[in-house]
Amino acid sequence: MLKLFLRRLLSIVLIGLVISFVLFLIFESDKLDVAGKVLGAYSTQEQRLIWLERNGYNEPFLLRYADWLGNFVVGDWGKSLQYDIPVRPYLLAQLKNTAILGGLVFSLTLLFSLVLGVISGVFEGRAIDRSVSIFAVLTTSVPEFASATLLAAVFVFWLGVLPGTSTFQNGFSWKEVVLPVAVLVIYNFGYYTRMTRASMAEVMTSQYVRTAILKGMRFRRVVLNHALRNALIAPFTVMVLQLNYLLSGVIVVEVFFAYKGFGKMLYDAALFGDLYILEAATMISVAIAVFSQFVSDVGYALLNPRIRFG
Amino acid sequence: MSDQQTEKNAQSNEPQASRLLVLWRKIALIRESRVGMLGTFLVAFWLVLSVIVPALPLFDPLQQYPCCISLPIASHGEDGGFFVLGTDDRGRDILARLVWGGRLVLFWATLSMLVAYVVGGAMGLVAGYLRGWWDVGLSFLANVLLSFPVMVMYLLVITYLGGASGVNVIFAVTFATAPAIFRIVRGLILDIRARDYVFAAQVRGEHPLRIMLVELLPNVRGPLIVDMCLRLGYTTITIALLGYLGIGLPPPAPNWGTMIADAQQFGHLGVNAMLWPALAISTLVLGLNLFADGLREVSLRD
Repeated sequence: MLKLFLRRLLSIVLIGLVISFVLFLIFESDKLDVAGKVLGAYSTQEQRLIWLERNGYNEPFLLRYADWLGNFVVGDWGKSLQYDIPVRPYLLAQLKNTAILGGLVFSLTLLFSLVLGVISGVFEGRAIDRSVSIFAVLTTSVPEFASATLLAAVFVFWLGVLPGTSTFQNGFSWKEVVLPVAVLVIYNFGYYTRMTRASMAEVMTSQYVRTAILKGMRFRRVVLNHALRNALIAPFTVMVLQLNYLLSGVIVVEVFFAYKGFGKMLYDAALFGDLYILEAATMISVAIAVFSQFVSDVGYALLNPRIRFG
Repeated sequence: MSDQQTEKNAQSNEPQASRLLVLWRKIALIRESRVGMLGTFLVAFWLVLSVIVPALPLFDPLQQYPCCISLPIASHGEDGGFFVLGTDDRGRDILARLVWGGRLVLFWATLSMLVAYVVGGAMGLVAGYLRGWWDVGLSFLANVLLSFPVMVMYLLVITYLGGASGVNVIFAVTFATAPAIFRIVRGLILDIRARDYVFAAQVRGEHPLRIMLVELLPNVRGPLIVDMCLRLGYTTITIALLGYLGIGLPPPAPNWGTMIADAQQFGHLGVNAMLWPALAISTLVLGLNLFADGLREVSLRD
């Protein structure tokens, strides 16, 4: 178990290092381009060269990379070119708003998909299973920006009960979080519901569940005590693993609703060419993705005794 | 000599054709699945529309009518024109843009899906069959690429390559989906690489390339076809999504995503122009998902 843990840890550190190097290569291998971005399009060649000299850009590439990585690790992420403010406090504030969004979406998706998936898996083939399955296919087929459009048309423009943007102009507001959360939960829960259903249906046909039923145990207890535990391993690990996709969806929804968060910031930085925000934001998002992979792997091993003792 | 060769070719072509026929019959089994038929109908609807659209009596999707800005459904224009679904914020006919948009989205989605499949499939074949360092290297590469959230990947690739264009979209889709295709193909190949017929081909002294393409690839086509349908759905979403974010196919091309983004700025006035492309993409993706479901259902049965 410890060996598995360490091996995984080593592999994610390695992947993280490779990715950080690739990102640095993409963003900063062209020095003059960096200087042009920082000093603006109207700076002269001389100004750019002086800036490069002053900021230590004439050192060897690998040394610059090491410096940059070190600065990233200790939290010195540079200054935003677009807003002229330090990146770190700005980024962390945006990340907090996104964490609220992501946390709500994750827990609601978990709740809905596990409950619905278990119910339809237990009653496989019955009417309730059919309706859940149809509902799940329907909602996963509507991409985020389309369902956002549909929901906005109903709740913002027709009924007028919810705001169409989530800019938090007067501070944080729960009302502005409702639609973004709804869109993401609706898009995401179907996939996990279907997976939980498949997993549950498979466990329900296994020998030990049949034995439990045949020996006269109450059906509810069989489901809750015996089947559930094993059925939830796969959906849980996949869900953590898919934090990656959740983050992608978050970016889309944040752009749609102008939600003041990490995704919108990353999008704006990419379009503007706000180098230092972009560097920090991609590093953070990759770190989240890689870390969630690690948690998913280790979680799977912890939950599944066949691997834990194997 | 050449006669003999053509005869040989004709002979070897015949089982090829019948194999395709068998595949077609398998796919045609989908009519036994009600869900699958609904999916087939939806996909066929958009497919047929996007093929015949040049022959349809529609407005020019790029033509702007300054007289008729943001008209509702079923409006008459000044010169007697009839806008079935109304017009958008620049006075363009929504129905025409919707149908032409479907053609555009389907074309680019299919193209980029196929490119991603060729790249990811080749990687998967090589890694799965040759194993060794090929497998280690390619798997690591795939893991690195899969560690990027896909949206971040799209943003990075497209802004780095210099902004919105068709070729850049294909690059972005390939970078984001080829690693996943790689994993699927590699897994399938690992499963069958130790079968007897593969061993027989090795003993016959066939070239590894031939073994991969002739012995291995055709034998994993079943799951790959289902995956292609699902992936075409995702790619359709991606093409429209990139259009929505302004980093896809450049305007004024009538992309469903671009249509939503354009209309969104106009609040109440834009609702009509926003709703139709949202419904269009939902029905198309739903169709592809149901079609894939149906295929899986009928292929699981035998």
